[in-house]
Amino acid sequence: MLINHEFCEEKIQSPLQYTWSTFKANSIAFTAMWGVIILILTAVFADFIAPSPASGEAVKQLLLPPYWAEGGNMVSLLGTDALGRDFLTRLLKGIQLTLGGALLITLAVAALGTLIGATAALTRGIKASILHHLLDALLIIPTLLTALILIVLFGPSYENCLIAVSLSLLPQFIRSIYLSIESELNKQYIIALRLDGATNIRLLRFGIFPNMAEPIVTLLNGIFTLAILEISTLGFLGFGSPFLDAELGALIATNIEWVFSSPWLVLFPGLAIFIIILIFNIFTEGLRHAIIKVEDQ
Amino acid sequence: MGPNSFSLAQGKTLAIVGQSGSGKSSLVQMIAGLKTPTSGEIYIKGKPLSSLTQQERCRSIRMIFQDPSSSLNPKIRIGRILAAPLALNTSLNEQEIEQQIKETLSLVGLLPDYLDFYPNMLSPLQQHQVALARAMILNPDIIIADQIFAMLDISLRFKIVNLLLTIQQKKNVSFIFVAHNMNLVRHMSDRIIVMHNGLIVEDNTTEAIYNAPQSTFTKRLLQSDQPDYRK
Amino acid sequence: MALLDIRNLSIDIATAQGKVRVIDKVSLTIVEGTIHGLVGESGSGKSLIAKAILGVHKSNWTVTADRMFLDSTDLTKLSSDERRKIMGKEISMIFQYPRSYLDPSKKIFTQIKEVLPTDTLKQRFMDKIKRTSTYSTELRIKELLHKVGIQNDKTVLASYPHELSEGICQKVMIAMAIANNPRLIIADEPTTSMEAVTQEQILRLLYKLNQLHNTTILLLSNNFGSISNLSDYISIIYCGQTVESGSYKQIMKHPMHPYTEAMIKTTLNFDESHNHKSQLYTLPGSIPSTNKLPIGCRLGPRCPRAQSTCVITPQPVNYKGHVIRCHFPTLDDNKDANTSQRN
Repeated sequence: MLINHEFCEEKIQSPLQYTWSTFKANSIAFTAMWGVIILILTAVFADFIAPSPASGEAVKQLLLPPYWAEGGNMVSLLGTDALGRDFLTRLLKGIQLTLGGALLITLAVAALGTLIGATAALTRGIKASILHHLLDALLIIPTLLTALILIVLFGPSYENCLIAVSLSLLPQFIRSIYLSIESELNKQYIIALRLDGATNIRLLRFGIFPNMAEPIVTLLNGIFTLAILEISTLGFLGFGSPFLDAELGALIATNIEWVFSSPWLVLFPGLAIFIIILIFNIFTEGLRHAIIKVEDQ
Repeated sequence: MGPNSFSLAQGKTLAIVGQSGSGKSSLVQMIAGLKTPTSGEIYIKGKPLSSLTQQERCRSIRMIFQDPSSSLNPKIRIGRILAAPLALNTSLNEQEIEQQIKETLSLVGLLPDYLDFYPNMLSPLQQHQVALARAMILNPDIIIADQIFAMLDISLRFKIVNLLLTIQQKKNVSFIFVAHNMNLVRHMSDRIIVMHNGLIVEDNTTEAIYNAPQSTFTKRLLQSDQPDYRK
Repeated sequence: MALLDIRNLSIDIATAQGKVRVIDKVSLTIVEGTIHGLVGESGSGKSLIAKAILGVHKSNWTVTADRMFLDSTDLTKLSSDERRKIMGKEISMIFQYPRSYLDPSKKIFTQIKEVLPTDTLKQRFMDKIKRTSTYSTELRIKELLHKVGIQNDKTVLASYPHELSEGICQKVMIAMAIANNPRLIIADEPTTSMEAVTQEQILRLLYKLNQLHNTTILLLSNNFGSISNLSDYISIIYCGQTVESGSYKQIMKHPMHPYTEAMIKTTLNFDESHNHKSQLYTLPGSIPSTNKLPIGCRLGPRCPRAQSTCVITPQPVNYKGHVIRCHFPTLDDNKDANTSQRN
């Protein structure tokens, strides 16, 4: 089976390139990827694209409806809230806090969890069993409850909220990473690499992680989704600083009393949460399919 | 299992046969260093194995696995797979590594074009050749093969047998292999160990075993070899 | 007489590169009461043929056949329901890795019980009245196990599959296969990955079943040497094309196709001409993958006798039951090409 380079130029694609080309072929997932990029850009540059200053001191008309509804105007596109602040600005800030927070949490959990999970999987004896039995015990408590307990301990603020959610999601991530690495360790190519005299770090870098793309993508997606929901829940319950910088859950909570007169104040933040989760899930699902397809080849 | 003692001369082939559960896999895994013996010592070129460093050990004993499609990392290019043992166990520089890889590839009959390929792009035979190249790349004294023939198609099996024989001729390397098929064992090996329940029941040259088997286990194994259902 | 008669069976599989003809006009005639060996290396499509006989296609397959008769039933015209009924009763199958086909969470006894033909309500009622529970399940299972040569039936029945060796598991599978007295057993590489002694036991068991109970067996294997000896008829298949088929004697004494000749050499006979550690005979090249099949005779690129005409698919030629598909067969003196009839 010789490839004739003169007549049929067949480039050898690396698995990564191949995954990318498979992913690109899936138009829904590809659109979702652009959605993800736009959402992230929105979160990063929320302060610049917002039509009025975030703190929104300029009190205008109270409870203005969106511009397309009767009585709305083009100055505040999504209307204003009960204090007369521009709602689009509030919503953008909310997306920044919720989505940005969730991304930060996912990153932190991934970094810390991979470190601990890999250590637990690669070491034998007391260290490993402490690491993973302690975490087993933590897994019994539902993550939201852990987050609630922690935030009560730390005191309500946005930063504490992020820390509490990260800590509550960490055990399950460590557990899953540990299990994935453990099952990878039994593969023959890992044993072969060991017989080559590879160190643990080399084993992880070249042997294990390249083959763990699929479980890692699934895991990160799960962590991200849970993080969004938990941040919003904690915000809704009032464990953030609701008035100055409101994230999406808190936005819903503060405006819930106007739900009959101005339903958009509750509807838009809810929709934002829904769309964020939907788009990220479609994106990661497409990615996962591409990875599986490449691995099955 | 054990206690067991046996020896193998350089450039010769030792076959370990026996029923499943007789401990032949454990034996070769001990030699390869995947398991440690509870007592006793394995000597290679007069030196006890436990006195060698991990690197020295890697350089003198290499193992081939049963299924190359699972023993070659699917996400790493062939070139890297072959470079890894050199980088880890020798102090060669990049050019020397490249040179060594090319020499080994031509030894197993592969073109250097395949260095940029990923394992799953190769045919089963080529995968076996790569696996063999990975074993041979450190110029080891002993190659251990644990039941590499069991799952193969007959023609592929013969091709790999031919390859192994050629390599042995060229490099004067010793083979230790575990196999079921007594015909192949007879063809390839110089010495045969018959195991039963973790013990060596017979250890002799191939000819002696085939012409005058001593134990009943050996006889039974040999009988299974040429079954004649029509009589 | 022919129990299973297949003419020109073709299977096309739709892949990303378009339709691939993986099985190309294979004909197979299995005579009742014989063992028919179907030999082919991996990728030759043996298992596909077995699946086509059983009717377990995937959705992207197109199976076409001029004729596919099990005795007098036309298998191609059956609905999937009717077909399923036939599967259990008339054809049963044993597989390559017996342990993976047994439920790991159930004891062997329960699993065998499940495949036994269930009594109808009427029978059970009559049994109650007559008080002659003539044939208890335990007894029947015990008898089955004895048939396949398992003596310590009590221990085996009370074990889980993982507690038993591959060989015993395969015997249990065979017991389950013969429970309904099928007319045809399809054995898909029943001894691969087993060691020589167990292999011999299983094959001997199949041979005994054939001799004592006149069960017809279609034996698929990738190893010519291991099954040729017990087959009455042998068909050799390469990359989805039948290469040669005929009785044991015809194939062994007068192989006509270069591929068959290569296969026969793989049995390794240790006579005087055989040198220790010499190079073994193999055909050059390796088996092509399914998306790169050569046109015409698929052995073409590897065949020592290939000539330019080999790009045309050779038609099967029948020499007194010895069917061969090759443009340049080894012709014997007593077989005159002129007397042959073309199918």
